[in-house]
Amino acid sequence: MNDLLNLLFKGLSLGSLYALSAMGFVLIFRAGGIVNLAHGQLMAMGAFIFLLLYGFLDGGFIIVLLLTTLICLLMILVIERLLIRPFYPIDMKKAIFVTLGIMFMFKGLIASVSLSSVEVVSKGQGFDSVHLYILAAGIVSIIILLLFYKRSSLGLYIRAVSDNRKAALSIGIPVKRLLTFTVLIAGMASAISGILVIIGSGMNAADLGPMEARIFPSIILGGLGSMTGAIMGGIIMGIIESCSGEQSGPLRDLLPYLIMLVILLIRPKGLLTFKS
Amino acid sequence: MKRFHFYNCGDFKASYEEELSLFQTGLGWLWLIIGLILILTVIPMSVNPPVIRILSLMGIYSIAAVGLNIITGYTGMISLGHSAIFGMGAYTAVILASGMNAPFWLAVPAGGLISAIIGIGFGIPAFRLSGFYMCFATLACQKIMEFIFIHWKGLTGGVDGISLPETVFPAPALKNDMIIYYIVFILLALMSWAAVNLLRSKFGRVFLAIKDDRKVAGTMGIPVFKYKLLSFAVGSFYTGIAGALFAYYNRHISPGDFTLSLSIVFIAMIIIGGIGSVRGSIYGAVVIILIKEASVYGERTLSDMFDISLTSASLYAFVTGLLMVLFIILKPKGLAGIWDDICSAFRSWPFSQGIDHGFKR
Repeated sequence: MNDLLNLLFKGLSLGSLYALSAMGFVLIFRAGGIVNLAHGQLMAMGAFIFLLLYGFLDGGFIIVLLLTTLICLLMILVIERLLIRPFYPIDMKKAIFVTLGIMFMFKGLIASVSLSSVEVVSKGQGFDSVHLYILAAGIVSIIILLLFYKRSSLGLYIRAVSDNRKAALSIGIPVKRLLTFTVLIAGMASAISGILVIIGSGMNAADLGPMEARIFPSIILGGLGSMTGAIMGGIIMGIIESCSGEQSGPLRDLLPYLIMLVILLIRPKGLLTFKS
Repeated sequence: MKRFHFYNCGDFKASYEEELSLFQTGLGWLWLIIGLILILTVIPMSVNPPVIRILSLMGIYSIAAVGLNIITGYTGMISLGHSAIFGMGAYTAVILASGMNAPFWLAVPAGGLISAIIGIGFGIPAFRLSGFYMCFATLACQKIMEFIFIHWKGLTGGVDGISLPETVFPAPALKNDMIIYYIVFILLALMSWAAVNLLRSKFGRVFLAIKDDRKVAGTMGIPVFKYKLLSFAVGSFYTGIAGALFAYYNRHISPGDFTLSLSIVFIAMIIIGGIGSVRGSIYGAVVIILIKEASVYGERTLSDMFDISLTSASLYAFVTGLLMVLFIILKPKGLAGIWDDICSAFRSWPFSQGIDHGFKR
């Protein structure tokens, strides 16, 4: 019984991070109509930079975290400026190809340094206070992002653009700058969630590889374009992954994608979205 | 014997048949024959074995890229599961050859057929989905197939993979690499000829119609789902043949050869070469293999010059991704599009170019 509670708790903390990243995906999808296939790899990129700095600097935890955040911010800004901005009235298919290319570039960067030297900080078997902190950080970030989306004027603009881009443009919303800002926020959400995932898994560099596509099942489960769906999907997928991972080993690599395929077959707009 | 004819300045087509013809001048046929003679006689005589291996790999990837181009370029469905289909062909060939002693001429088509069946399975989500949803569906299929490759140990040998038995080729007179080289390039010639002609047939026109607008295509009485499945089947057949050839080429396959990265590499090939163009797939495969070889060289140079240890795989991935993005932004029609631009610039020389030729292959 205690084991089960533990698994649920771990799944909840992992799920809150997936939810955070999935919310970022939804933001980009709504503000720009971009299906960002590099989203999972962006998580891995954040985690990679964190691990690199952590092994390299030998400094305090907080400093490394701040530095990683700063580097991710700059990186996302540069990528948005150079590779996404040039074709703003975006063709969906082109955007898919471009984000695939960006994903592959990230993959190359991550493979360029072997991270085996980083020591394992905590290999949590039982209850772990690390997961409590992660859950707290995840929930706080989710609430901030949700407040930004629902309450702030920028969030209102994003919703306006996703409803009708031309009308939004005609009443004076700076659509291009808004997209830059959205990509920045969403990218940061994704990178931070990647950093927290890698901390939660015990600083294991081998987790970077499979992270490339791990976020997509939660996004599909929640339904593209729905914020609450993204949160629910992320949490459910985190719990499923945690439970399947601890009890039956390899299922962890299969189950999320199987669920994703089934949902795409029976209800492509997501299990948890009710409005059309 | 047809007389060679060349272009006058400008673009004068008097009939639809002229627009559709395989080559617009006799010069095209001449180049084709010269190219085939070069590839099949001159090059194997003159270059050394490592280059033969590189060229064979180019041919294999070209066949797979033509297959992806049928799915993505003709019919407009982005498939992120192409490397799983490629792997399916490879595994089928190796399992047939090692387990049941099947000969080469049986194992390769069997690889193609099994891949076509799996490809139809990949296409089933297209019943309700299109566009980027297909991306996610094929991604899920890719991950599931990767899982099967790793965990069905009895059949696939698990993470370590399986090898072909030593005595596969009955002809010891020629070296294996040489046989593979000839088979690959003869198959490439035949299959790209078939793919070009597919585009000129009823099926090709239906694929293009679905790509342009599937709703209008459906309204005109085209059974869209059936043709999407057909497109998946044909493209996967090509890829399966390529995968089976890859198994004979590499003689050992493991799940690490058929990951999501390879799917992205295939997409990079058709983007760099030119989406929807058979010639382009071949250009793309050549460029990608060149990048791969250059990155091995670059790794050595960089580690000699500086004290950094970049792996060749990471250089390869980074450069491929960058080229993919740059081509989409700057030249969405790829290398084949650049070649067409040059041709039309020459053709309409004293005047400005700007004639967009409808068909390109």
